[in-house]
Amino acid sequence: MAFWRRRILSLVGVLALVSLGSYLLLDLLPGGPEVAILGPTADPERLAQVRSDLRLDDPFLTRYGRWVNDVAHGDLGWSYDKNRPVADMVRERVPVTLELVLLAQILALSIAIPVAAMGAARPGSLFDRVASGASFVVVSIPGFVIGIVLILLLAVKLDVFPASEYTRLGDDISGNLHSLVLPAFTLALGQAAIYTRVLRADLLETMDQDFIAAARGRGLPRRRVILRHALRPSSLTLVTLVGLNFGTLLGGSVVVERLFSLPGMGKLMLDAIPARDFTVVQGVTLFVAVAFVIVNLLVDALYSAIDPRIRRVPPPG
Amino acid sequence: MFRRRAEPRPQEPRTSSDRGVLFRAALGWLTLLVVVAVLAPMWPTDPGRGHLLRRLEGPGWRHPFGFDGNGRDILARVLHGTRVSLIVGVVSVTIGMSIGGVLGLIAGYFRRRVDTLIVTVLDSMLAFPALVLAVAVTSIRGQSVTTVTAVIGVLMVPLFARIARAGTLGAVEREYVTAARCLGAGSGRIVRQEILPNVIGPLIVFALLAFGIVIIIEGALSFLGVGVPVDTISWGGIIAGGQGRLRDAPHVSLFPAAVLSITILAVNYVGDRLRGGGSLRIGGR
Repeated sequence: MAFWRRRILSLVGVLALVSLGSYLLLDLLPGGPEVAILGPTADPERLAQVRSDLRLDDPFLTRYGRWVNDVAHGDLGWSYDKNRPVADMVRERVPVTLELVLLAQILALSIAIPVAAMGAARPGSLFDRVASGASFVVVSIPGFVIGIVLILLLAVKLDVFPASEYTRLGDDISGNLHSLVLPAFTLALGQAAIYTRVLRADLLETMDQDFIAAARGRGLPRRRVILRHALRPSSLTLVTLVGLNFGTLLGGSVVVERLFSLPGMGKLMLDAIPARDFTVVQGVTLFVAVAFVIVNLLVDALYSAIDPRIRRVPPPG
Repeated sequence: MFRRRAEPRPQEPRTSSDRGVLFRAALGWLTLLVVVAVLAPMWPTDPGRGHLLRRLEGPGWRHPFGFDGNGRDILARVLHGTRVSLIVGVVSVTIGMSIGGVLGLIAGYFRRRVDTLIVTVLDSMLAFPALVLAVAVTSIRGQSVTTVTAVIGVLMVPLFARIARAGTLGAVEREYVTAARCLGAGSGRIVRQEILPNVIGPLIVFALLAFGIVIIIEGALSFLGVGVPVDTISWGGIIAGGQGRLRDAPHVSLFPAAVLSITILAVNYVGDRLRGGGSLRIGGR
């Protein structure tokens, strides 16, 4: 129980600071939020309107409190550029980003698990050396460069996948998947490289243990031992990493959505910037950060369910 | 068969000369970049001058990287872009390392409430996906090299703080710390003289890896058009400029993209080797 009390307390603290940070984003706009949003030449009546919308005349803690209360009730503010609630705009974009991130995770794991297993089956073999080298290189290449190379090879030269046509999931499932292959692959490659390195190292460690030697001693083939005996106990670090990486992927998806013109949350945020639609920027930032915090908590819960020893020791960090 | 190495490989002495060709190549590339950044203004070709008739012209003998959509020489632009990447990289890593290092030392040394407070603040900072936060802040605070550097520097703080905190927690329990305390040394003196030397090594090694992360974030921000101002030449900006031209003029994006990737690769390789080469020691652990 002490474990959970600690986790929940730290969750409350983190959420308070995250919301404060997001609130300050708007509050600290140069010249004041209303001028920043409407521009310096806006007419005084509109400025006064926005001032009262954002309750800028109240003391800081009062308006921050009201804002947190609004957010808790699903109100992320008003977009002055599009004249509609920010929450509605975010809600429309969430499925696109979520699908992209999930597809990327699935792709990354389906690359990483076989590659790591084959590498760990024969450490030092040609395959293992090539895979280790390749993963080191891929980790070092920024996502947008991977994306550009993929577009160049698969969209421009070979013309197998579209570079910038998004099909909505509701309209046509196969068309939707087809349009997401390149973006998801772009996001997945870097993750796959990290997962491969982690899983390979953990597999090699497991392979040194007695129960593996016992399984081998019963004459089971090495491949079968890796898949049936070693993979599961070696996957704890991987599970944590997959969870934690949702944050990285959400950041990476900003770049990928821009590169492939996907109408996700990142694109929403980027498009809002030239339009001075800062309430949207704030809404997306807050939403993404809170989602990330919650995912992390779930990963912690999952992790301690898999390995109950975690609950007894105070969490590191 | 069960191919396991019977006897452990003898530990080779680690001097820079036998770290291999790749290590030296990586160091050479990074040295070259520093030289380029310093000497860029002396390059004969003007990176800002557009030759309208040579727009998107491919690589040639006198202009090995070709020309961009405005007829500007890409090699000259890449050379000048080195400055932004290096300045943002060095300054924001320094910011992250000094603030993060101090926070980590304080959290690890005093523990209890101070530790809880600092760790909660750091966790909240880590809750924002780096790129999303950087985009939000630069768009709202206005684009300038200073803003980008400061934002990325702040993003690096929690990473350095964690490393410093972990090192401090380990060192605080040591006998020589207790001994110093018994001899009447104050907290400041203990932290500076006894604990800092344990923490500084890992911090410096991590600084190299952080440098790679910083260059990626800066490149991504400039690529998205929310990094350094448009008239400041940066690698990310040049790459973004060629993005719409991949069909007819891929060289515009590819050359700067290659330079950026090689740089990060070099930084990561050097960092990895200095850390003991754990992730690249092939065929074992």
